[in-house]
Amino acid sequence: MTGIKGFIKLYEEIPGVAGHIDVNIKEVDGRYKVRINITQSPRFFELSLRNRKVDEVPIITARICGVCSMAHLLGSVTALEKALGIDMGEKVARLRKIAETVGIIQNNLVHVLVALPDYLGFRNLIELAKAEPGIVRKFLKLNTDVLKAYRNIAGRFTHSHVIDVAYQGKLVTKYDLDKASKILESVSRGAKELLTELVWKWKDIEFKDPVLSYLTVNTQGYPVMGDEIATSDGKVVSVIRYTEIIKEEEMEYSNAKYCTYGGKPFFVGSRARILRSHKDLTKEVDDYMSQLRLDLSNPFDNVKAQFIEAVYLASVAEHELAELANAVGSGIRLYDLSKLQGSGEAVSAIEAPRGLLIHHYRVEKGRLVAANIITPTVMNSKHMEVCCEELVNKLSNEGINRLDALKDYAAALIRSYDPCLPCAVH
Amino acid sequence: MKNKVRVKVDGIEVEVDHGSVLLDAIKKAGVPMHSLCQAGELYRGASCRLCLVELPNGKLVPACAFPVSDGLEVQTRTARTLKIRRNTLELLLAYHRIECWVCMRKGDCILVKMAKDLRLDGIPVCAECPLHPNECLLNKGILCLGPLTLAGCDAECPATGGRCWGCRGPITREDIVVRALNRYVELGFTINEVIKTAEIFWSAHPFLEKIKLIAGGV
Repeated sequence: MTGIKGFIKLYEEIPGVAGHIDVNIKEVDGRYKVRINITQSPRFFELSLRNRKVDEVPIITARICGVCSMAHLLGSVTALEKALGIDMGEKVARLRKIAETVGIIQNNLVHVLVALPDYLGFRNLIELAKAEPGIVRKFLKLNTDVLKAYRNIAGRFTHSHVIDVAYQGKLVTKYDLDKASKILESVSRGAKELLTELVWKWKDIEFKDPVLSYLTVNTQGYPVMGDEIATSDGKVVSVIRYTEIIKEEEMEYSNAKYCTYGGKPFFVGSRARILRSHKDLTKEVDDYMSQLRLDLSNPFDNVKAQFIEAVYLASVAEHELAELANAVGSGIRLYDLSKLQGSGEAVSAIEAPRGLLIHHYRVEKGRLVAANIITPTVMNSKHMEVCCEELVNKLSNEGINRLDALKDYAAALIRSYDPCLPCAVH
Repeated sequence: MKNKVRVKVDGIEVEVDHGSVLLDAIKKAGVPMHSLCQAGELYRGASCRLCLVELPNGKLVPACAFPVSDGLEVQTRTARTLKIRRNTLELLLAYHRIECWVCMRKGDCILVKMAKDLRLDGIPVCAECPLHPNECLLNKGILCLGPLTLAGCDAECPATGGRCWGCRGPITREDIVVRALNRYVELGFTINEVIKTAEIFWSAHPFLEKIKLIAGGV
């Protein structure tokens, strides 16, 4: 694909992110202009979902992303169940919330590892693994453990087939949940140790977010799944009215859409979630936040936020699993396939690892008529572009004018958002 | 005359009774071996040829019929024996009436284990599914693509109560497809919905067109 007219490619194919993304740059009157170009080819999921039976939809949407498949699966299942008026009961809802939480923990730990070379002063993960094999090994061990817990809940390591519309296939017993709870306890302990180990090695990159505007799901407690969207200026909007706050635009230079809120770019993700609910977090997590010098107005610190979130959510999920284990008795398993022939329209909001994810479906007589999915990377991309422009200009004012120095900072910034380009072009 | 003889199986030395066959020595050495002797009277008289082993002189002999002698050395897993066993099993499977969903030997199928070991395709997920304690989803009215999908995944989804969506691809054998489609019809599913579900993962698979043709005749 050719670049944008008049721009030069600062970085082609940023490494360490899922998919293809370029940074383009142009100098106008002594100031740099930046365009983030998502070159991943479009995948037309929304079109291929049309005229599908409702129980097939979540299986397909889960394939939008291999990393956060649980978020897409649950977003889809929740929206379709709302549309058809199906209630699976409180226990299944709790189980699904835990499954999503475990998904967030797993993604965050992996992404912290992928982005870690930027903050420990290495050029890439291979160099980091050579110099600090202990750290890399510990991260991989944590990841394996979380996946084991995930498997106990969802039946498979990824693309779970046991959760579907009006369907909870795996017989989840007290034994499974207790085991997952124990694994998460060890993960929580391991992650805390690793965090303490990394505190003194972490080199901060100083930067201030030019637009501190964000969106999250609005719920009691830590935002994971909910029916409302909360904005950074204190508004709470029901998710069915999401088009009033999130405006999607097509950009001629990018394959993905860009989103704005109130005409301004905004961000979603771990930083947004912690910004919204950092007052409700435990004392221990506050300590970790100050130890790691977490500055929530710095986009680079999204990586730190992810790490702290993983530590916090692991302990939360551990307790929730233990509580649910005592409540399930003979296990959870439900099929209610009789209601799949209804009609309706609904929207779901869920916190994917990378941020707010919206699924909107219209169903007629058990078949999907229209679908709209807004992924977190789409919401982040405008903010990414604005931040990158600000960063490049700040650095050039400080005297860093060499493009190869600029390009590493730009790549680190893009990476810190944890963008998933296959999601963005879904 | 000695009552015991010493035999070397893949370098492991074992002592067996005089007059026994090589397969006993192999079993005693603890070396895993393909054979259909467990299938009862079906393949007696060394007729399945799955337990071929290689002698030092390069000869291939069936272990279940070859008498042991003192100082005998055999290799059980050479490239040559594995290739021949694979071909043999492929021929045996071609003759086998695969209808795993109603098979008597559900849950203890030797063929599926051997096929997996020899990396041979052509057995449906339904053969692996009963290895786990799980009810048939089709019998509950849940559309599962197990009968049409290649085994080898250890039936991970049906084992945990999820449906099989056919992510490993279809079995490319017409007779199995015909029986599977008949089974779906028997259980009250329409061929159309089966094909529509199969299209999720197989829309680009050339065999899907064939399945559609076969479905026209069912």
